[in-house]
Amino acid sequence: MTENVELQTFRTCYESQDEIEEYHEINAVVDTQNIVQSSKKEITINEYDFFTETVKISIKGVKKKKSKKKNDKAQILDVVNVEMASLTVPVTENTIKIVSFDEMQLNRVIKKSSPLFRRFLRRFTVDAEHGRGQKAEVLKFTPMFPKILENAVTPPKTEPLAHYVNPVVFNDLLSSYTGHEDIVTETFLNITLENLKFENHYLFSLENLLSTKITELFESYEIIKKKLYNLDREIKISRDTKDNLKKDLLSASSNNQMNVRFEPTLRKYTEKFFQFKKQYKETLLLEKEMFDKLITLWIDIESIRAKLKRIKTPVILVLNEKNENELKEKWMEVFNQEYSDYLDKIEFDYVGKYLQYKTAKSTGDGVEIRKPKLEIDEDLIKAEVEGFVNDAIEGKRFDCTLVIDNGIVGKGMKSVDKKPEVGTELVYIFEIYIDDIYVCESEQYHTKSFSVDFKESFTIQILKHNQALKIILLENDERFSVFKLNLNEIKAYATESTRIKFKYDCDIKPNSRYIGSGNSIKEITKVHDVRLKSGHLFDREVVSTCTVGLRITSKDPNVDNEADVIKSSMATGRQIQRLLHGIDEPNLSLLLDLINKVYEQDIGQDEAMIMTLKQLCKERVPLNNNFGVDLDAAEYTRLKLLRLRNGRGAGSLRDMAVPLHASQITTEQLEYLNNSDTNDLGVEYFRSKRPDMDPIELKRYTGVKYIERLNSDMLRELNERLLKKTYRDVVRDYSYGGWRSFFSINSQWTSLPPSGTASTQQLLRESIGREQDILVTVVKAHNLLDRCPEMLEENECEDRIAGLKVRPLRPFVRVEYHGACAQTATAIGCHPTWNQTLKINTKLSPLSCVHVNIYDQYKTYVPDTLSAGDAGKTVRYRIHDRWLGTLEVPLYAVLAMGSLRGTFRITTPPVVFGYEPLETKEVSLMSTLSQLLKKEVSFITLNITSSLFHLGGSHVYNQPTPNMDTDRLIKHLNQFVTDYSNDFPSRHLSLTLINSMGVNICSTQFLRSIPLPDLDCFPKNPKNCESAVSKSSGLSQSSSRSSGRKKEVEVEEGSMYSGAASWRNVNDVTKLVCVCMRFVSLIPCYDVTEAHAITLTGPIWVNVQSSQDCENVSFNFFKSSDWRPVFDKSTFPITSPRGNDSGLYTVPPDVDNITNILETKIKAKVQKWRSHSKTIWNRYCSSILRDMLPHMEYWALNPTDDKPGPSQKLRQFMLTYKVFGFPLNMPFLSVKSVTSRIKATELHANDDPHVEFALAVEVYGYPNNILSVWVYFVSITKI
Amino acid sequence: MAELHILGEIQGTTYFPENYSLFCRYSFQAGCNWTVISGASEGQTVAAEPDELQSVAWSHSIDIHYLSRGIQGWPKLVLQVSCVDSIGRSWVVGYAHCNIPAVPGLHNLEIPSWIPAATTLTDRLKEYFIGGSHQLLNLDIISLGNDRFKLKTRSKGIIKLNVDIVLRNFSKFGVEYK
Repeated sequence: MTENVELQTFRTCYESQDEIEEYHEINAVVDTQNIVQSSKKEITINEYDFFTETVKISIKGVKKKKSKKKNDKAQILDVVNVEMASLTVPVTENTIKIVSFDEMQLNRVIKKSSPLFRRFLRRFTVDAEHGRGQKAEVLKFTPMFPKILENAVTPPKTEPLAHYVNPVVFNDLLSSYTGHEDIVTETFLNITLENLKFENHYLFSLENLLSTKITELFESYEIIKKKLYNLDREIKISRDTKDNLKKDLLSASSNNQMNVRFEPTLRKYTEKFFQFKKQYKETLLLEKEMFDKLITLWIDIESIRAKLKRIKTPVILVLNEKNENELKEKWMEVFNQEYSDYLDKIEFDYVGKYLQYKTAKSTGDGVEIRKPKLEIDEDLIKAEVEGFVNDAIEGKRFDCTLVIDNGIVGKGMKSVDKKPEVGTELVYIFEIYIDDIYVCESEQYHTKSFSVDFKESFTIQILKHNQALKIILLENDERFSVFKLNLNEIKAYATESTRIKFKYDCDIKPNSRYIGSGNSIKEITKVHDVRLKSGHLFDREVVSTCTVGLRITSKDPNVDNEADVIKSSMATGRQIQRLLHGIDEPNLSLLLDLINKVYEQDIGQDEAMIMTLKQLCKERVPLNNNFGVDLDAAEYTRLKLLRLRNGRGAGSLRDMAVPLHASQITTEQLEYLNNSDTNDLGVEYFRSKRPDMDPIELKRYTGVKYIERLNSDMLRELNERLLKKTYRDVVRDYSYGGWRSFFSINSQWTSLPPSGTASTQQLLRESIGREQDILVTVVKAHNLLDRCPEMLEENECEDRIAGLKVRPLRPFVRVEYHGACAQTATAIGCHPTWNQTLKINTKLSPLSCVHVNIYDQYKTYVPDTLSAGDAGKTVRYRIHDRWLGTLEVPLYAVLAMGSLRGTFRITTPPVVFGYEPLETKEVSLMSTLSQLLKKEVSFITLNITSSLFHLGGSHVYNQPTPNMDTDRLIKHLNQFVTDYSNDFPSRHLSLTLINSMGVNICSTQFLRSIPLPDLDCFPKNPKNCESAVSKSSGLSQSSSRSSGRKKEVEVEEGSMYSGAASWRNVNDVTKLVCVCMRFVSLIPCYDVTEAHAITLTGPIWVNVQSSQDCENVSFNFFKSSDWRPVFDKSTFPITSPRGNDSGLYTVPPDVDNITNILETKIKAKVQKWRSHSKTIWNRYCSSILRDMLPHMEYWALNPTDDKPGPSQKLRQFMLTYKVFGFPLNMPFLSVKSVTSRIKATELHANDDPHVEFALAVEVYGYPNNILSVWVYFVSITKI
Repeated sequence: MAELHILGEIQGTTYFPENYSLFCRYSFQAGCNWTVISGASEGQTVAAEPDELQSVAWSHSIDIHYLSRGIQGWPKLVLQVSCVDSIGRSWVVGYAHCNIPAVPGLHNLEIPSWIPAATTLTDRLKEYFIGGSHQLLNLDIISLGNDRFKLKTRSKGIIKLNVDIVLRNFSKFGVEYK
């Protein structure tokens, strides 16, 4: 439930206005929103845009680059032009002035051209050059092209830029100053008008008028009646309380009766009682009055109907009279009651007076008050009570109900009058004005029946200076009525729509048909020529009025379209959910806001409400959901035990009786309880992590949890069946052979199993609950990576032990399990031997792994600069542990086998800086062995066992007995396994498994072949791959495990030739297989949600290579001699795989988000781990590393290609820096798994103050959300 | 989305020749890539009388939070100093402008101010006897570089400003500070 709270999103297609909003949600909501967003529509700004673009350019692909370049050129040109235009050009200073002569002069010059004149002319020009010529026109000479001038930003302006301004009065300035707050205060009002209804209209007939009146009166009559009924009940209740109290007091107190009267609580209740009585009497009078009015009105209506001989309105008043006898009985009853009440009242009054007297006397100033006397006149009392009772009963005798019967309308009409009433059609329009400025008007409403059902909303902007809102009602285009509203009175949250009244301003004379408006009832009756008894009921003037529902809500200016409204209401919903789930603490303003939003009412004024809310906020609801069960109570323990027993009960608790009383619970049971008291589904963890999880990671996480759950459930179920089985076994029932063989409780079935829970399985499960030892004997390792020569320079002396030069490597092994770890001493060389047993004492969980990491202890000497005096005396050095490789051993294997001894292949990163494969130049004893180990693969020999080893070994593969003779498949498999184990006695092979029906099936029966994902999904070869001789290690993860168990079952892709069309282009089959294996190896182990889709197909191939020593075992698929097929093609024809199923593969996921999350997370983690010192990230190196990762990924897909070596840049970098690090590749399970992998390498544990780190994270997405994570993590020190 | 916080205060001004109360209107101007998320981008300080050293203290606090989608149009501060004379009249006595520093950290800025000079004799006389000043017709000139060459100005006092710049997420876009 809580999970859903955050996950609702509402995407709108427009983004531009969301930016600020999204900003506000940065902390909490955006992340979760991203989870759902599958399409990445957000505006992402890359670095380039950030610096250059103000407007986003949405050209894609290759085109983008080209156009960008063009753009750039154009921009540069523009910039140059602008620059040039804005510069003052030096040449302009030298202006040449051309003197323009007038025509005459010119003519003279041209015609005569006398030398004298020419001389004069020259002089004149000279003069002009000096500026004395008035008419000289200046021609500017610019070296620029005319286009440039046009392009220039500043067209020449002639206006002055500044002018003189007289001083202004400061106060005026202040008043004119509009602060930024004004912008906020502009508000919008939503006005909703609905349901026009006329109470009175000048076109009403008299009967209409009267019947509306009678309906109105009847309504209030009903209300009064209801009130009377309520009061009656109240009186009864308070009378009863009073009497009871009195009785109780009397019985309780031994004092005399007098004192009871003065009892203050009793007096309080009595007072209340009399108050109710008083009210009752008053309302009774009112009711009577109202009843009279109703009767007179009804009489009038009847008379009018009689006169006009027709009925226009459907109103009938029905009078009921009650039975006389009943009334009499009631009268007596009520009289008795009232009489005693009256006596009580007299007593009460007297006591009141007496008390008053007493207090006055004690204070001393009550001189005037005399001691009151009790005066009782029986007759007077009787008469008074009688009068009251008469009134009360009389009122009840008659009762009237108003009946609306449309059937009677038009009845009693004479044939002459049959002409149907002409309902004049009226048109109504509302006009809305703000401060006498016309704003808008409503639609036109046509009606004949004086009422319109409509609803219309307007949104009006209110400025700060606006004062009043005016709504004008127009009938047939004439203004009839105005409704004015002061804007200040409008509250932020309007209540339910209020009915507002429009009164007509005009006078219309009544005629025989209509009553008109603005006339007194007398005039109307005069015109109609009737006398009305009920005339006094009407106002002095009968004015046409109508009511309209009006509802005004102020509108949030931010929310101005529907989508936003939905969004805001979703936010409200989310807020409520958060409150409900206790994520948010309630506070007053929040609650107020919510209530206002939900109920659209302003409850800010309601003090009672505020008080309640305050109380709510103060109260802390304790956050335990145990419904009052005390956690420490013994009873609770018992409940827990019961639950445990009935549920997934641990071990022998299953068969124990839980005692009825909590005190009888044995300590043994308690111990079980404590052991089992673990939170199996990490809801807390889940909740805490959820916000910063990527959708893929989230899926993985739920997948893991799901598998865990499934596993435990399945185990439980199986165990139940097994228990049943045990009983059967006692009577030697062999029909369930399959079952027995699977669990293989005892290989010797001839003897009866030990009493009770005999199965080792159960014992195993029990013991797992307790702390157990894991014993890891690290024997030796082979072919570890050696230190590079350049790393050796500094510590020459370390290489010698007792004068002998040895290999510089100082490896040690660290074994970790669930946070507990143990490590060996350091050994020497690339083929070290430890022979050391490590012990880890912890709780075991079968689904986890034991992690074995190998490190090299690396010492660097610190030049001792501080203590110059005793230089050379102390040697200070730092020790760094450098990670060389890792190995995961599933604990399940250990538990199942009892003890696991074997040589395992170490998972090493493709490149480790500073280390290189062992070179075998030396001629030594080792050289022959080294020759054999030319491969770049390291091995470690381990012997892992646990304190439960005696329980292991039960998982020997028993060949299933075929259920039917016809089951030729099983037979065949049995035969095959027998053959195989004859050939290779040390290898285990199991080819069958048991499905949920308890039937043995071939392990690949349900696997079906599927086409490969499209080739396009895999990365292309990045260019300039550098050459290095290497061999595969990309498959190491998948193969190491199976080699550990010596169970050489490999399932191979059989559909390699008939894959998708795109694969046909790939001629190289090996390449194809590599890609397949790579793809499969990236599937995280626990991920069911993904893994079901990717399975390998039918035929099984079994490794039959002859070599027994681990070093030479390989899983090379290209060596066909190593493999033997289980099924011959002759006996088991292989069905061709299915065609291309497009739904099989999803598009590769978008991994940017994960990459970012991973990178920031890893950086943060590393910084956290290195809390004692500052962590410096070398960006340059990071970028170099990042460039290398695509090569790595490509190489991992095509392991037959050359291994990518360090790039040129990196080599250069390594000249100045000492680099140690490696790329790690792993399938993506969760961020945590990645960081824990990194933590295990201990690379961060470097206390050299000058150390820098570089980190590059790259995630490659493949179809079906399969991710390949590369983390390149390197530590750098300057040489 | 990168974010920029401008925190600080307009401390005051010195060396204004007018011996009247001075106040200052400021406004932050930024390009279209920039959005003010919180804080007032415009405002007016108190009208403060100068002390004997001709310095005026406003200490008007500024706290603005910008959201940025690009470097273009980095925020600028445009200032306009006015005076209030002894009879409550007011006119502009100085314009100033400064770019908000792009380097995070504390900055003490001293912004020189100027005013269009009176060009004609009558104006000069008016200014001398009546008060008032030359004011820009278009305030864009204060912060823009072009079209200013026609302007004759006179220098005025110095406005002191200290701002703290806090940048966020700029490193995402390759803007780096060591």
